[in-house]
Amino acid sequence: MKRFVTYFAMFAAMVVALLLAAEAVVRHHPNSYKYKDAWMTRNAERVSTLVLGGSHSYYGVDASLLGDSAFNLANVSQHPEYDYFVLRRYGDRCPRLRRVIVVVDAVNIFDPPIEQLDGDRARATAYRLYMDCDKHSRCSRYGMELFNLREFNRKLLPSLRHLLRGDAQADCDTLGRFNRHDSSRAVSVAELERTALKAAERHRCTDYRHVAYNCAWLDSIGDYCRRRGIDIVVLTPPAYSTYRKHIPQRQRDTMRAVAAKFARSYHAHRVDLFDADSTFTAECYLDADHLNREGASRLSNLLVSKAGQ
Amino acid sequence: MSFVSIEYLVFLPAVFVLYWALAGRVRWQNVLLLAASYLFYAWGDWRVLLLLLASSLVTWGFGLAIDTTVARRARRLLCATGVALHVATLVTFKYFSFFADVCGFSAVGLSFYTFQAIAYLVDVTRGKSRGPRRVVDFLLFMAYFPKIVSGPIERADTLLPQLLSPRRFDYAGAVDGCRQALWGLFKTFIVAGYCSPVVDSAWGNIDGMSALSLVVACVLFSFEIYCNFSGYIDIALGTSRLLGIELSPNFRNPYFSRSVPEFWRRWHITLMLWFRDYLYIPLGGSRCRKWRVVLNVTVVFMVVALWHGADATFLLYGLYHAAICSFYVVSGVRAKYSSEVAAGRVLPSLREACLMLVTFSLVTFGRILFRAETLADAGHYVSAIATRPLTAGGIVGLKELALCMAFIAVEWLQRGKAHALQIDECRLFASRPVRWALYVALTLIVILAQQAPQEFIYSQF
Repeated sequence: MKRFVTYFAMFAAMVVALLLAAEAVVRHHPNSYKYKDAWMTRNAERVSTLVLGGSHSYYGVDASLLGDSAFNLANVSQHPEYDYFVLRRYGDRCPRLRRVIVVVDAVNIFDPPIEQLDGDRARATAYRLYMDCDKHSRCSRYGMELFNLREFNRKLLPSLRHLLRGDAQADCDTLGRFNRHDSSRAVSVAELERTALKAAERHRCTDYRHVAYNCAWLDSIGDYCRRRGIDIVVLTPPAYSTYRKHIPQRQRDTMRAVAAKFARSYHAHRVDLFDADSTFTAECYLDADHLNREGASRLSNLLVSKAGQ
Repeated sequence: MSFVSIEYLVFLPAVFVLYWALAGRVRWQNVLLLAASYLFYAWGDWRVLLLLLASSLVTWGFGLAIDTTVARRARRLLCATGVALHVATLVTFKYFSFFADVCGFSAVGLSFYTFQAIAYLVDVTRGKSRGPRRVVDFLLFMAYFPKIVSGPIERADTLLPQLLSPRRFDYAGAVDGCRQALWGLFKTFIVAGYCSPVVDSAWGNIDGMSALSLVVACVLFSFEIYCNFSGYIDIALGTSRLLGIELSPNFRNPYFSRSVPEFWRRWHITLMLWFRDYLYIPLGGSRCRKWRVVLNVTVVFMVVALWHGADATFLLYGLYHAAICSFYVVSGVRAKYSSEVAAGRVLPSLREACLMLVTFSLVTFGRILFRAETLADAGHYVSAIATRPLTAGGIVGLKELALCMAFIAVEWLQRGKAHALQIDECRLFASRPVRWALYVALTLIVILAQQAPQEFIYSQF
């Protein structure tokens, strides 16, 4: 018995040691969370504009066109709760912060907390590990990359490959916009139609219980900005027409009502580009609800012209 | 609780340590195992425990009554009543989802433990087994956690004596149990796990696939279901060996069978033996006229089909296999083999290879009925294989097919053994560091290369 337990413990120790090595490899790999944390730590003092929101603003707002001191703090599936977290964490370090761009779209106010979303649960780990978010303890399931096994397995081989080649880069450009190799491509209309149906299906809201939860976090952002005298721009980014058509009317109405109420309550500029088909044509999209580089330029220039630099 | 959950990683070591701390005290070991089994079974929904407990107590009561009754007729009547109660429960919960809906739960493992209970009652009636004196021992016989969800279906004369006698820790058995569980995890997560998405995508887009892709998906499904189920059984058997209890093997390289009847003697062995002993032989077995044997075979396969579910696809699946096995009966084509395939040789003879290929093809074709949700789906799939262009749009699943070929090659080389990781006698793995390197590598592959959480297909039956 003693022999068995000893050998089993040795075997388990070997496996655990190798898993920890794999964890170290994945954590060592650059990612947008780590990059944004490091950038804000270095440059917070000169930042005057921050962009919040999920993938729609992460892909769609080019901070370099918003003025010389803007930074894109958005990230994939970053809903108002984590918007508030990053604003509080980094905004406190920005004495010159004058403006915050807050996104209200057909996704971020309807989704449950990311911890309840299978595909996005690992993002809570990223906030914990790379941005020191204290929502979850280090000893919780969000304390290690390894605990989100599916996402960890997806990251491991690319991380290892980049580590060996020494060419690892984060997914964002210097000012925080999504910048993977394919982020500038334009796609065919057929592909847009196909992705529109899939995305609309994925984003179609069937349970409106989470709207109040997300609105409460939007109010926290509003209160923070009001306290510090920071202007708010409420942005609803553009989406391809087929995508919009397949989002239920009730969901679109709720989105607009929430954005309008938030803008009214906090005297914010309202920039609603959801239906702006004449400006955002097919060549502006990477897929049905994300802009490519061209689309990001147009959106950023529009933001400047509508809300001022 | 599932064998492949974080909870189980805590549960099993805790049970293992406490269990062996009680070594020499059989009664307390059984109490601990019973508590652990109930915790394991009721983890997701405690209400399922009520049905298991009721079923166990009814069986225990009828067993005692039969045991203490001398009159043969009365014993038979008691047995028939007990069996009827079990069948009624099974039919109610398994085939009328209404009752499951009213109760708000589906009883996982119901058909497995019901069959075990029926076998027990019949064996006691026949005087082949006697019930244990202590109710705890019998409740454990019914609920023992490694086999409660998906079998193997144990008999009283193999499992009960082990539960009643003192268990000593066996180092070699425990190590081999770990290896067997590891091989089971590999089969489940890697082989079945990689086949599953290809099979699902083929069935989800039949019209968009080439004919060869559909054939490949069919072959992959054969591997998926085998690796998923036999992987689960390997984990169950391995776990049980850690506790010093041997469960019955449920698979013996079924895809190396030379006839379809031989396949059924190697596939889900405990279920097929159950049908042989409690249905086929009482019906007359093979010791009667050919037409009667054909009828018996057909009845058995129809009940096997019903055991899987009351769907038309399963019924046709049963008929398909009944027809093939009846062909062997009527034609006199050899269906039984006393020796292992390619015994004493590395490669099979050409005849053996052809027979295995034909058997595998027949079984795999039948799997279309098993996988389809409706008869129309099955028909659509078969007609697509016949009418779609052979390779248009490419062939999907070739990498997964290569993985399956590598897997089956390993199983072939290790075919005489209980599982493929019994490698002590292999010269390549003679030294311990090499063996350990293999075990560590397999463990890491299982953890880091798995695709998606695996559901055990047979837990739904």
